[in-house]
Amino acid sequence: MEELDMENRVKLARVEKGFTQEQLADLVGVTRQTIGLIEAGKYNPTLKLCLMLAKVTDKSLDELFWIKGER
Amino acid sequence: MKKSIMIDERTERANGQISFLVLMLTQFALAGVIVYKRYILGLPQEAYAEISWINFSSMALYWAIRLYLSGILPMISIKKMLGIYILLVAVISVLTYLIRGWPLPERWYEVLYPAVGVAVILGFYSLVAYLGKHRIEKIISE
Repeated sequence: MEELDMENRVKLARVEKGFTQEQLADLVGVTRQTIGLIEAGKYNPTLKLCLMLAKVTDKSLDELFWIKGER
Repeated sequence: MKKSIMIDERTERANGQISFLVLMLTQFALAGVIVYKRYILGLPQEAYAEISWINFSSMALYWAIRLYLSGILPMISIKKMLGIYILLVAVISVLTYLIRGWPLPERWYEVLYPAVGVAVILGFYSLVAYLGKHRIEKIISE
């Protein structure tokens, strides 16, 4: 099966909410490095973490994450 | 107070990958020690028996737990299992006798090793396959 690359708008959503990486990390219970890697597209978060990020940034899941090449 | 070392899903995943890598390296290193002692130094089996058991147990336990938790081992019917058993015992016995010859009369019980060994391995496989599948089915039905 073909592996799908994921893209995201986490950084934009975070900045819109006025959060630092550290603050966002604290809100969703991960490290700042994890947020940094997600924003850089170097780490694919679990669905649970995706949902938490969507919740704290007041975005829907598909506004934050999508499959590469589909937008 | 904030924890100095925080564990999240990414670090947990990394820990799992590191544990797997280090375990594999350790098992390969132990296997290397066994080969070195046996074939290079020519030491008797007693000189590396403990290491062999530790390494074998570690490998067997690791794969059993991993396969149990993933529940992916196919269940094999008794008829098919019997066929596999007879085939494996025959192949191992023939190869053993070709390489080592017939055992001495006072060590007659050595002829049973392939039969018992294969039975233990296939029995272990069946048990892990059954328990792993049963576990996943139970989780799904809850």
